[in-house]
Amino acid sequence: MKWATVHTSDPNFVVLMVFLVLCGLLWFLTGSADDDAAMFPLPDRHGKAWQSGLAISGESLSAVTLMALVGLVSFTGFDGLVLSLGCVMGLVLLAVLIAEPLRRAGGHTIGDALAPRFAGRSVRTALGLVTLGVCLPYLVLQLTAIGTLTAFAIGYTGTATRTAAVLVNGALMISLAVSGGIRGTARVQMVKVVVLFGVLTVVAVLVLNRSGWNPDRLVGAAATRSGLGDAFLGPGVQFGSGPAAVMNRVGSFVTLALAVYCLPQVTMRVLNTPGARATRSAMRWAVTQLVVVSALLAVIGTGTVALLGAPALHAADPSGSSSLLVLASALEPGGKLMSVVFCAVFLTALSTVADVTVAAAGAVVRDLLPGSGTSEPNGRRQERLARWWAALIGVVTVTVAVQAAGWNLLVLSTFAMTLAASALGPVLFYGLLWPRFTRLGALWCLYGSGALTVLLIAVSPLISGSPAAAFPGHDFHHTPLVNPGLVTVPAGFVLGWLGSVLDRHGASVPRHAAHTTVGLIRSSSD
Amino acid sequence: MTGPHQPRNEPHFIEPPPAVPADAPGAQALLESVRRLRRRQAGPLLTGYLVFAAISSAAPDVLHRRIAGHLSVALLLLLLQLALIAWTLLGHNRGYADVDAATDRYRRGLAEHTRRAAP
Repeated sequence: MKWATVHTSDPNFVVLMVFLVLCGLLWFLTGSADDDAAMFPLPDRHGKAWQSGLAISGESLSAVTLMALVGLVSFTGFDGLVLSLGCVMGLVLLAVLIAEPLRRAGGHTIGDALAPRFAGRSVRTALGLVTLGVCLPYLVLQLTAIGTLTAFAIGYTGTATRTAAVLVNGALMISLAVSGGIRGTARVQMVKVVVLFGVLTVVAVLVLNRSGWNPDRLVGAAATRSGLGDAFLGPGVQFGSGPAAVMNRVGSFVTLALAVYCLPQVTMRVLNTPGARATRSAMRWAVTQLVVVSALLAVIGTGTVALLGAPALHAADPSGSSSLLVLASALEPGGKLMSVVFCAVFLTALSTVADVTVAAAGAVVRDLLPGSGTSEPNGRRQERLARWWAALIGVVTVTVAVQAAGWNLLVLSTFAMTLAASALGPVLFYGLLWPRFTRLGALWCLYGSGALTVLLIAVSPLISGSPAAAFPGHDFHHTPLVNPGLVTVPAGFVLGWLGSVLDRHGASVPRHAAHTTVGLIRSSSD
Repeated sequence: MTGPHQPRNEPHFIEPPPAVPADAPGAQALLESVRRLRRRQAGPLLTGYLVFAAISSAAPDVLHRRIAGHLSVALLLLLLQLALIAWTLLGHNRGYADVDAATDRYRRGLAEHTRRAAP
């Protein structure tokens, strides 16, 4: 099925070129005022909460998540909807549990926010390492996916085209991160959310129009044409049945929600809200926007299989990640809709990669480099270093993404999300909310659950022992868990608790109480 | 446009405050009210989500059953989850309004206490 060919004489090509020029102009938009281009700007107390909310919700929905959601809903039905719910639940947990304490703690990275609780640099260094461990696979994943999609969209799927797409996209995204800093990339994130919302609304309206504005008929057609029948309307298609399937399903529930609430780029945006009290409004905006986008994606995913049928979708792209583009192409054959949808997805990838690069560079400069983490007087030096590190991280990830053509990208996404949920999640939770949490508990949690995550993924069917594994010719898998979150997330919490309980130095509970009280009082005058 | 070489030369973040008012009158009550609010909101939310995860994993066949039209038990539970999220966020708004009022009262009380204690 040929659905995405764009030639230079095609109006779609013009749309793509105009869009790329506009993306280039974003470079100027991101650095438009004093301090806006800074990698570590002061919190903008005059900023609007809704703007922060849009940026936060944008961070929680990457290009890969967007494409995977549509594909998963169209291939598995209800299991795809659960993935959306997991993302939303992550943001809600962030809103009710840690957003405000995190903003009160201040700083630019998770290391900055938790540093006052722990003497020495060991926890800060561990947080920096884990943050990099989350950000780097995440970046490679996004770049590889958007490179493949770009090559697919312009109609040339050869290796050379894909490599060129990764290089050009990577260069654009990294230059945006280096030039824009935190606030500049936030502006791009807001533009992305608005554009994505508009485009998804148009596609969802077209889908509903095709089904006679009858959602029940749409769902019925999807269940029939997916070939799954009533199984489309309930859980079980993605992981199958049996004890291993149950563990994988529960693991994915837990991992996704906890990962979204502590992803470095999401916490970076929370730390840059105008004030602690404004964080509440920002989070309400973020959750509302994400719920609406998730609903639109549910309609689109259901409509994809209802209109096209599972066999055609499998023939176009067995992974399902191009389902959104396939649907757009089918809704308006030969029209510009497919290009417009691709532009929205590309903008999503652009903003995600730029933000994750900024978050990773921040972790290196603030948490890992010697003498980092101090507020001043080396601000200018840190700014310069952060830009160099952003560029270096970008070059490394683009290089790896070029090599990652034939990789099983599920390994990267599973590793990044599980590491975030198992190591960063418990440390953020305990560090901000539990007065008795100690340095030893933080180190056990970060290194212990990090090592456990690496180990369990290494012996999982993702790496060996299955046709879709990273090394299909080998078999050293010792666990049926495709998603080890069911083990690693509780292990992270237990290690954090155990390390704190066994730490003979103990924690200064009155100091934590004083810190919280002063934070509440300060936030009341924001 | 500010070039990358011109960041504003000011502190990057506020240093942690000194440990003063935690043992002042009302501080413990204020902290307890924040903790209670967090428990009240996160408790039902997490319980609901975990019950949903457990049912989805343990009894998927039950969830395939249709209730009306193509609305299955699973889709109904999903909608209930969204309702729980909306309820939690509304409660979050209301609950923190009370905490803000308590914080403001505490701040005024603390100022009064400091004024009286001054020589």
